[in-house]
Amino acid sequence: MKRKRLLNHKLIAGAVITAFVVLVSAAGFFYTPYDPNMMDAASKFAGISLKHPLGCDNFGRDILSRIISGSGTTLVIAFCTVLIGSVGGMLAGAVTGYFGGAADEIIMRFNDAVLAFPSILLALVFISVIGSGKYKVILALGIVFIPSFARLVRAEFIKCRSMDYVSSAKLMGASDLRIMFVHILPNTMKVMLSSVAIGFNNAVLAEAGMSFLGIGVVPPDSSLGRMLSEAQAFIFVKPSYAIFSGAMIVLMILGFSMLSEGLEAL
Amino acid sequence: MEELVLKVDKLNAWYKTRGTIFNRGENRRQILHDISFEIRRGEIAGLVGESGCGKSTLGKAILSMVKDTEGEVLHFSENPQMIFQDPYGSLNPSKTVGWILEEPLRIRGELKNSLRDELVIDMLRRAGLDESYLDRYPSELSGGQRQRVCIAQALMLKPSLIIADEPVSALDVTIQSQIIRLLLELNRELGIAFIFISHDLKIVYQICDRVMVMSGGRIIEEGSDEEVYFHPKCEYTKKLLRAAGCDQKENRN
Amino acid sequence: MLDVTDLNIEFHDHLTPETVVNDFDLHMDYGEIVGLVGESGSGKTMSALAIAGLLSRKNMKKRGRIEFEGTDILNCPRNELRSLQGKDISMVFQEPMNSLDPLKKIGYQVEESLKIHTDMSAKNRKRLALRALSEVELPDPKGIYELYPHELSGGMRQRVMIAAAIISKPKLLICDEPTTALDVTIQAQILELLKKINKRYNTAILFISHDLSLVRKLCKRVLVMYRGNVVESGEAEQVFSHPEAEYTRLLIAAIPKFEKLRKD
Repeated sequence: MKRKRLLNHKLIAGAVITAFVVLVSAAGFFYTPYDPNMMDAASKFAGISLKHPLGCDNFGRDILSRIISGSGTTLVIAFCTVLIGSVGGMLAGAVTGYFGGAADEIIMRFNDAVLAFPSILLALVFISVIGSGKYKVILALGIVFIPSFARLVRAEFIKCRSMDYVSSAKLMGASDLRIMFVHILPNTMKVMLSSVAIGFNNAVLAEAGMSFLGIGVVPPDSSLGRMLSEAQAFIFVKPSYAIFSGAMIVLMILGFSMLSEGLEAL
Repeated sequence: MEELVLKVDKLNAWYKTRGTIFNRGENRRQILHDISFEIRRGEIAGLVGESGCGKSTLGKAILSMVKDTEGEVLHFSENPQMIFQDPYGSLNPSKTVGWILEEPLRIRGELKNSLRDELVIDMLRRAGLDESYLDRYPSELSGGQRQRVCIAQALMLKPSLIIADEPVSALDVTIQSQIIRLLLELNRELGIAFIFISHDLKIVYQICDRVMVMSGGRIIEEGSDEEVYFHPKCEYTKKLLRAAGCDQKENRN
Repeated sequence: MLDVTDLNIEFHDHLTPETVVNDFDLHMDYGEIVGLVGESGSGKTMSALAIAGLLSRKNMKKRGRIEFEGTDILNCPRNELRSLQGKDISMVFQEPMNSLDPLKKIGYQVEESLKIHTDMSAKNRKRLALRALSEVELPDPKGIYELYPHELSGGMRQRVMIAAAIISKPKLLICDEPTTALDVTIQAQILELLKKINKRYNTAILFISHDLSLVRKLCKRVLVMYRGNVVESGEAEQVFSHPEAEYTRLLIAAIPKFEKLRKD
């Protein structure tokens, strides 16, 4: 009999860190200590104080508020990206993995072509075609993320389609759609979950990278990558800005990584 | 004579060695050669042979699970079902036993909810389990219990023919005899005909009325249990019987 | 030669520890064939893995003593254990497909233990490997030496496994359900082969199976395990004709008989 291991340390640690990050970011949509985009010349480069717990940047904007709302933007972008990538990948993977044949060959060769490029590079090309901005970043990254999910789901479908329970469902007259989505899909969820967590990571990094290069989120919107790139200009004057926004990215990624490793070990 | 439930006439089957878009259909390997036989209601027919002789493929081909075939397979009964060898692969790991048993009815859209429950519990009981198993997942069951669930699921559509492909060879000896008895019971009580595929000649002798011996994709000997076991014609059959210890007359009782 | 006393194995990788082997005792002499019978989950494979020194050192707690020619298998250093494994103690597993490396030629896999344990020349190794292959009664050893595992049938693969296991003339050969995945005709041949090897090299064999009838054909002495406990042990014939434990009786009754089953 298979015994189930319920919890492990990585899962718990990952869940706690992720919960913290998500809560902070979610709170940012309703409340931040200051308006993250409000400039105040008087408190330019203000140090750490009770009034501004993490100090202020070159325009006198409160860093804490910017980090809170910036994480929110980054998270939303990552979430939507992974959503587009995983749903699209799931459909493509299910169809190619279950039916095989010519459709499989064509879609998977296209997939290979896309996977052969670094995802951020492809996203860059997309952005240069459709222009930058929050929603366009989501769209570009989402599409670029589809192939890796498709590959994964396809492998799982190929594994499952020759299982006896699938044969017996066919014998009972279940339709292909039913077998794909009712019988097989739930069995791919475990693999999906852990790779969604990794995908989340990649999305956070990709968004940060793109915004850092100045083709992601457009000012005055704040996102963690955007802030990191702003902070770079005065890193010696005000290192805390870079440190704190960088730390937030690290925290996010650490949380998701541990969560995914924890899920895998289940 | 009982009525026919299955008639197989000159069945041939091939497997394709996997091609790409460019060389489709090359390299067919013939697995079954001119197989013909009939199964009558309530009969248990044993299909024996060594691994690789094509007996599993024959079982699948009868239920049109093999793509490349020629010849005729005529079913005179509805919903023939199959029980597989590996009870770990034949139950969907992400569904409960209750869900698995209801699924055939759900697919047919046949019954209302209340009746559905009754039938599920009835079949579960017939297979030797009770309703406490409804909410369990396959991973919580032992091999024997899983095989019982598979049997209950096969029973849901009230088949007149079940093809059992090595249904006990993955199980412990103590469990094997229980499952064999269960199949025999279903045969006697519900009149279900079985094609019992196995390499274990003793078990086949225990329950089968008729035996077919396969080798190299052909049925090389066929007859009643007495004929095949005590007056075998082929050398190959004799060899099989000897290896299984079924050749000594004194072993009979 | 082999002395196992009070072996206990507990799994600790879950929330509650789980005992899989409880107070296991076994004494084996040179050249003896002992059968270990039980159903899946009875702890027979775990005990065998422990004797072969193959249990992971993490996640489980082991108590008791396993002594092989004076070496304490449970506590001896890793390199000492390695010098025993594959040389003095060999193991044959149930699934011959999984226990051979699909990417390496048969010859390489058969002589691998010589490569590890001796400084024999390649030519000598090949000579011994060919001899081992013919010893397990494989036709055309020279041809098979150059083949890959997928080109052989299940029975032939299992013979290759046995050849690899006996090439360094081990004192103890542990066979974990070596015939379960095979056809009846092949099963009988493998049993005969094991008997021959036992006679020729005085190799002690620990034969693990869930099939009492097989064990009876091969072994002088048997141990019957049930849920981690040894419920009965003794001379094979004695255990068969006068089983003492309830479970043994159940096992004997379950052996398929060559007679019609009537519904009672």
